[in-house]
Amino acid sequence: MTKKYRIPLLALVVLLQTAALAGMVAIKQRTLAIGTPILLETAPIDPRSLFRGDYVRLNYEISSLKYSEVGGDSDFDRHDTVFVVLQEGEKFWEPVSIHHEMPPHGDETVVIRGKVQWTGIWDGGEERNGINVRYGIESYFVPEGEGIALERPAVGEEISLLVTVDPKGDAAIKAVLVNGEVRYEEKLF
Amino acid sequence: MWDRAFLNRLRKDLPDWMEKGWVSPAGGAAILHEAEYRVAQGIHAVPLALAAIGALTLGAGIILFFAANWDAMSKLSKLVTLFGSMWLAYAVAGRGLSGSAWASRVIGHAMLLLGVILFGANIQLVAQIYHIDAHYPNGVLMWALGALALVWAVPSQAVAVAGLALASLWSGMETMDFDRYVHWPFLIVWALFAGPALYRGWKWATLAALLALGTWCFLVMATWPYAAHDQGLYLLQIFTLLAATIFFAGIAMQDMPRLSTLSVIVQRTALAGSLFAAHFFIYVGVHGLPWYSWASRNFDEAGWMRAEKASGVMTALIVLFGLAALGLAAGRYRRVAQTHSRRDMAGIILAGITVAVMLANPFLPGRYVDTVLMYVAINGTFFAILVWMVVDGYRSGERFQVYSAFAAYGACLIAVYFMGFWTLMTRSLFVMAGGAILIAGVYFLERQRRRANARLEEGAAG
Repeated sequence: MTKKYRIPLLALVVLLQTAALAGMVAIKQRTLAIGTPILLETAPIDPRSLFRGDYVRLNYEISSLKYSEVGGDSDFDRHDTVFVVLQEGEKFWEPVSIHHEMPPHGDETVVIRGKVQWTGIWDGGEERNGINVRYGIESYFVPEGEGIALERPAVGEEISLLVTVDPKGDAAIKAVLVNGEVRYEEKLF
Repeated sequence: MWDRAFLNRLRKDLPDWMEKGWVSPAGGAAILHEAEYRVAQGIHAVPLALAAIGALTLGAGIILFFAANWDAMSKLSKLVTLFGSMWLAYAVAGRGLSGSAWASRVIGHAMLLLGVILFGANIQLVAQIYHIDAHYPNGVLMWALGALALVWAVPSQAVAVAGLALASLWSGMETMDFDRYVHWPFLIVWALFAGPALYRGWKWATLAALLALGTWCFLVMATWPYAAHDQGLYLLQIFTLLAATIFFAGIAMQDMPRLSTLSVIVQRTALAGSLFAAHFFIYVGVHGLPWYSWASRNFDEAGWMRAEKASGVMTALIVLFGLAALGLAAGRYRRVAQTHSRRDMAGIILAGITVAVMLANPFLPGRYVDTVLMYVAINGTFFAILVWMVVDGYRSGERFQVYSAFAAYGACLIAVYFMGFWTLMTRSLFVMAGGAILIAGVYFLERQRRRANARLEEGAAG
């Protein structure tokens, strides 16, 4: 390769790297902009970020799904993609059925996509048939020192997450709520 | 080789050689000039290393600065900072690389490295800004691919080394955290880094590529499933033969103009890798089992029966690397037979016999007699190779070879000490007998050497 092409090729690589990063931003911005907002019940647990600040590790009620309690498919393996149909409950959105493929669904339901982390759920020391799912919304970064407040809420405090889900099933965190009040909110820019 | 000590030695010895008429005055001056030039070339590595360390430190400082003020920044200003710092580093790199001065190019390469570091930091920080909780090895893969694109577009050895480290990290995460026992995709990324490293004659990147391949092999071995440990023993045989193939390829590289500068580094790294794999194959095995799966402390037939034959894939890989190693060894033997010493040929033949013995192993039915004979043959050839390595390394001044042989021998002794089926007394007798045989061998060889020297002196006097 001659020296003449070195700078144009460097510029091309920089463009590709920028496009890759911009792609990460665009995908999440799109989900935040066009997604359907749903409220999810959580139970946070917290390590610290290796990189900076605090982050809260989130666990959702819809993370553990028992085959006996939801409809749809019941033959998932580890690392399988799973589509979970959610319906608005009394307060939070709740799972209705689970599927290998995106199922047809009405306006009153939302489908969120996840990956099976493991199969078999321990429930009170007893293993039951089901799956544990990750949706890509299990981390939330908060300003340094504030993670502990979400990790260990005071007595009577309830943490919930407002999540947007786009038509493909991808999810993004829109806001963190404490007792129904918005504590942290994601803006477009 | 081209270090200051060698240059000083030449400066001291050349006048004497010229005076004796062994070297012409013009030849002596040319040798000295060449040596001074090579040494001066070697010194360039120091500023390059310092510039790379400077780039790393600067990158870490920038990341920490923004980390300290992160919460006060809006999302948009964070993105502008992340993208802007990366573009700035690449802009300075482009400016430096387009300059003709050597210092300018060094700064250019250091800034390229900084750009890659910032690209990786940006992946992490964008994920953080948008709370992305994806399959995290993919982030490292994306980082490595960014480095790979740079290696192909703007050849940079420092970026290649960093990229290979990232590829290893990615593969390690996939293997250890997500149970990918044999992470094949790594080999594609690895080959894409190793190609430019060999083509451009990059020594550090070639070393990094070999170490990355070794790390991958080790990860495969360490995470091999318990349920398939019998096949895992053949896995170690494959790794031993793979490293032997690379070693002989390293020897063959001596005769290839483009690759000759990489020959020594390939040979040394592959030699260490082959000894490491062979040690695990013979003495440690997978999950603590040696290459034959003994079931009891007794030397009975049941205990020495191999539990499982090699699978088709394992056998195919053993044959592939075994034949490749033998082919390269035979090729070398043909080329050096007329010009090199008998010691050289003995080494090649010895290595060839060892490879042939290992090649035969998976095809034996695994009866008691096969297993015992194979065990004795493999141990015998392995030990003979270690002795040859010491003798050859001592004669040729290749200290790495001598140290490697002694390290491998020491590891064997430790392994024998911990083997379960030996009593302390039998271990003691074995080691004492081995030591006595070795001393007797040394005495015999030394006597032969003295006789040969005496004959040479008589011949010269006559």
